[in-house]
Amino acid sequence: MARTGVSSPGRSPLPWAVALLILVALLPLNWLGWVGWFAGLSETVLTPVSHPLRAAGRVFVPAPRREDELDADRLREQFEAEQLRRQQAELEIDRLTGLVERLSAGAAINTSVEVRQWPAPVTGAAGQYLVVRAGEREGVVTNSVVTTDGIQLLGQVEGVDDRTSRVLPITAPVAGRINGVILLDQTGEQRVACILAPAGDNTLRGEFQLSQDPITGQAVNAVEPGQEVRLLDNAWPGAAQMLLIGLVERVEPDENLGGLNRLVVVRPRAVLRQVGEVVVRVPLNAERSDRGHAGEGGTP
Amino acid sequence: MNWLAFALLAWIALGMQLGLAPLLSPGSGAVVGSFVIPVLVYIGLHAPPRSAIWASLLLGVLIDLTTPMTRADGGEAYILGPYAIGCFAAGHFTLAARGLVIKRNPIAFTVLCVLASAVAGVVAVAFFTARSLYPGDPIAWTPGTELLNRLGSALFTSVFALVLSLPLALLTPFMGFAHSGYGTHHHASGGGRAAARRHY
Repeated sequence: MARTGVSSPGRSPLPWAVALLILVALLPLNWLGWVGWFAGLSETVLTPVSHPLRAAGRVFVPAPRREDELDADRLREQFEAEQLRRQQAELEIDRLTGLVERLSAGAAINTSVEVRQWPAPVTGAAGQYLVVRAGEREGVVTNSVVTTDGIQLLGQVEGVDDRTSRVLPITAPVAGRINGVILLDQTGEQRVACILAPAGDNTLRGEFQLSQDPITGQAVNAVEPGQEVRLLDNAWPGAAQMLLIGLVERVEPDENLGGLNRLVVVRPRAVLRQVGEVVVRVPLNAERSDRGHAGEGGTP
Repeated sequence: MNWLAFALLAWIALGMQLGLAPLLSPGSGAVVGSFVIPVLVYIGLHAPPRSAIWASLLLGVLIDLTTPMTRADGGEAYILGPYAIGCFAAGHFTLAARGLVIKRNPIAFTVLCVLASAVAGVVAVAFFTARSLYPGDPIAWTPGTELLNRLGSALFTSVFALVLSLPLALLTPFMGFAHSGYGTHHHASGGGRAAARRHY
């Protein structure tokens, strides 16, 4: 082996340094507390190099994930997923609760007619028709009555196939006139008949006659904005009778007719062409109206 | 040897050791390559023997001061000496071997780095194992595993050594080595050998 040429102990402090280091290396740990100070000093001196290098290295070598961090991440993801499921379940419960309320309200109307209420989403529009995802499979037939929320009348099924049906809203321009009654009080005992036709702006417009005071003989207008207007039209199936057409928006004098006649503007509670879900009132006995199209009906 | 240049080189190498080596560690992190050992071997190959040994000792001390040991109770402790003596031995090994290799050959440099790292590791493990015989020694130490880790680290150091061989070779003119021909084709020159002996 080649000579290394290190100086002899007598001329160099190197052997003494080595001996000292061997001694220190074998000291009990309790006697080495002072080394920590030098270690801190070394770290301080080296940090200006090590820190930027570590930061730069992290760009290319991402920090490995510790097992407990992975567990925490997994638990966090599970928690978030469960939270999402809970929120979705709450939304579904709210939706179903609302649906039950609407269906209950719809079922309470005209209880003499047995209908099955079938909630169905609106999948699109075809011309003036709404396309509803409920068809013959669900028992929908032509002339089935469709509501928005069980009470608000939307229209009538004009065409039906296996899985979908086309509904003509009562506010569609091609929809015919419909007969209704304006409920003057909460009980509905005092009514005023009216004939309504779609105005093209999501309202229906029609005539009604003022009543006369039996004593004075003067015309009395008891119709006010906000009063409910319900369907009462023999041309419509029994399942549609007394469903809500809308609320009185305003009353206008009819200059053409004069006398006791007035014009009433009725606005449905929803924009009928924009509803996302409807309730199809499927008659249990699959009753079919003799009326061919809505446009043909409307006369009392 | 230019000790200022050595200090700068050691500073950068230790900074890389602290900053980069853990990131480049394979597996669970028990095997960590060394940026310091290539510097030690580089100095050992080129510097006068006494300077090389002192440099090795200093590098070992700095490794000891930047390598905390894990205590069984969860804390950490610094022990001065094991790596200092290990590097001292590695420095001697390099000095002994430098006459046998072509010092500018990256492969020879890499092989020397692996062997020097293994020497330093074995010596350090020996010291720590001796310490672990003390009753109540709080350092968590399993000699077999640690020795395997050190030898694995020595092997992995070859990657760093191979990468560092070129930049270190480029630094040679700035390091102020009194002679640079030992171990190369210049060593055939009798005058060069005589000059080298004078330096020793």
